Amino acid sequence: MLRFKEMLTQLTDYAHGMRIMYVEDEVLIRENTALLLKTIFSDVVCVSQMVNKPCKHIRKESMKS
Amino acid sequence: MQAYTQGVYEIVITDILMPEMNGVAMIKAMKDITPTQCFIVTSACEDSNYLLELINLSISQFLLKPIQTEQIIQVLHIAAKNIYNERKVKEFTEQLKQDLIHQTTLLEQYKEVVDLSSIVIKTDIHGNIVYANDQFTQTSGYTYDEILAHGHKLLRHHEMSSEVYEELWRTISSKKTWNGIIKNLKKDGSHYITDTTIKPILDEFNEIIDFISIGNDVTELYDLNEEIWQTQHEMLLILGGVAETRSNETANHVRRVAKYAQLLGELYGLSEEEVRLLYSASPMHDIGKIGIPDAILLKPGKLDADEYHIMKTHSQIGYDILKNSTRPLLQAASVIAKEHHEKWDGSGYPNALVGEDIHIYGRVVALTDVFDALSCERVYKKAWPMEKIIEFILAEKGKHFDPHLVELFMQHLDKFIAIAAQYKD
Repeated sequence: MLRFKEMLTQLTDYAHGMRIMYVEDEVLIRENTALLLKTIFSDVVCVSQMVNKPCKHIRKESMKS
Repeated sequence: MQAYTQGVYEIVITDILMPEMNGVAMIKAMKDITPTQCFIVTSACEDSNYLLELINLSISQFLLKPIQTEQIIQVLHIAAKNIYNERKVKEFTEQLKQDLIHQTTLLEQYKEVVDLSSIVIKTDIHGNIVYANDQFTQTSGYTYDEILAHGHKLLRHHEMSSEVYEELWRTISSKKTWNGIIKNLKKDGSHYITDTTIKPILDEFNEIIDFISIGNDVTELYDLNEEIWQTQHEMLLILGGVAETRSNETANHVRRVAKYAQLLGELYGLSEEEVRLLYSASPMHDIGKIGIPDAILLKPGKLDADEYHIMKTHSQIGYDILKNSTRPLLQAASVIAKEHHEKWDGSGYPNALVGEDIHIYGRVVALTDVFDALSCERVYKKAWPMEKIIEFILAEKGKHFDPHLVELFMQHLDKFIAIAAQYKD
C-alpha cells in the first residue's frame, strides 16, 4: 500500500492535464473537497444542485481554474 | 448537463440523491454522450436498487459518505492512474501505428525498386515457388502460373551441375545466405544468367519460413565476357599456330595440345579457372621459336651442340616475350613457355627444375606436347604407333613426366585418342 504522501504525489502526476467535474446537492459545494481537487487537477468545474430550489438549471459554477 | 456538454472531463464526481437531477440519471445521460466516461460516486444512499444500477453503469468507484480525504485521494489515484495508463497505451498504439505506416511505406518503395531492377522469387521450405515478380516473367518468358505449377525444374539449364544446386540447398537449409551465378533456361530455349542471392527468411523462433531469391540479370555481361575470352583464345591459337608453322608443325598441333591440356588439367583436379587459363595459354608454349633463326629451326638434319643450345633458348625467349604482362592469361602463357621443357627428374631446361617445382601448367604441357609430337606425322618423320607411344611415356614416367599425370593420362587414354582424331591434320 502506498503511503498517503506518495499516493498524492503520484496522483498529481497522473492528473496533470486532466479535467474533473464535481457535482453535488449542497447549497455550497464542499469547499474542502473542491480545493483539494483544484490542487491536484489542471481544471476543476464544480456544479451545485441546490436543495429546495425548483430551478431546472445548473445554478452555480463555483470554481473554475 | 449543460456544463458537461461544454467541456471534456476525464473524471466526474457526483452524488446520487440530488434535487435537480438524480445522479444515476445524470450518469446515464453523460454515458450516452461519452460511453467511456469515468465516474466516482459519493453518497450516503445505500439503496440497493441505486447501487445495482451504478454497477450496471460500470462506474469506476463508489464512496459512502461521510468521506475522508484519504479515501477520496485513494479512489482518485486509482481512477487517474487508469486513465493515465489508458492514455499512454493509446499514445503508444498510435505511435506504433504511425511507425508501421512509415515502415510499410518505405518497404513498399524498396520493394518497388527491387522489383524494377531484379528477379525476385519466393520459395516455400520444400523448394516450391510461391511467388515470382514481373521481372521474372519478362526475363524467363514463363507466366506466373506456369512457374508456380512446374517450379524450378523449368529453369534448370543443362550446363548447371547438380553439385551447384546441392551446395545451394545445403547452404540455405543451414540458415545461411547463398550467392552465386546461375545459368537459367528461358521458355524459348535460350538462356539467361543471374547473379543470385538466396536468403532463408526466419521467424521469431529462428525457424525457416521461406526463401527469398533476388537475381540480377548479368547475361549480357557474361556473354560479352565469353566473347572476349573466346576471341583471346582464338588469337592465341592463331599466334601459337604461326610460331609452330615456322618450325614445320601444323596449326592443329596447338589446338590438340590445348585440348589435351584442358582434359589433363581437369583430370588432375585444377579449378575451372585454372583449366580455362591452361586451355587458352597452352597454344603459346612454343612462341619463343619466333626468335630462333630459320637455319636452325628448319635444319633438316640433327642439330649440333651449339645449334641445340640456341634451339633451347626458345623457352626463355617465349617467357621474356610474355613475362611483363600482368594479365593472368599471359602470365600463365609465360610460365608454360618457360617450363614446358623442364623434366620431372631435373634434367630439363632452361632451369633444370625438379618435380613439383615445375609449375603444373608446365608439367601438363610437357606431356601433352610430346604425346602430340609422337602421335602425328611430319614431313621429317612418321607418326609413332600408339603402343610405342604408350611404352615411351610409361618409360619416362618419373623421369621426363610427372608420374601422377602419366597415370591419369593412361587411365583416360581413350579420351586423348578421341581428341587426336577430332583435330587431326
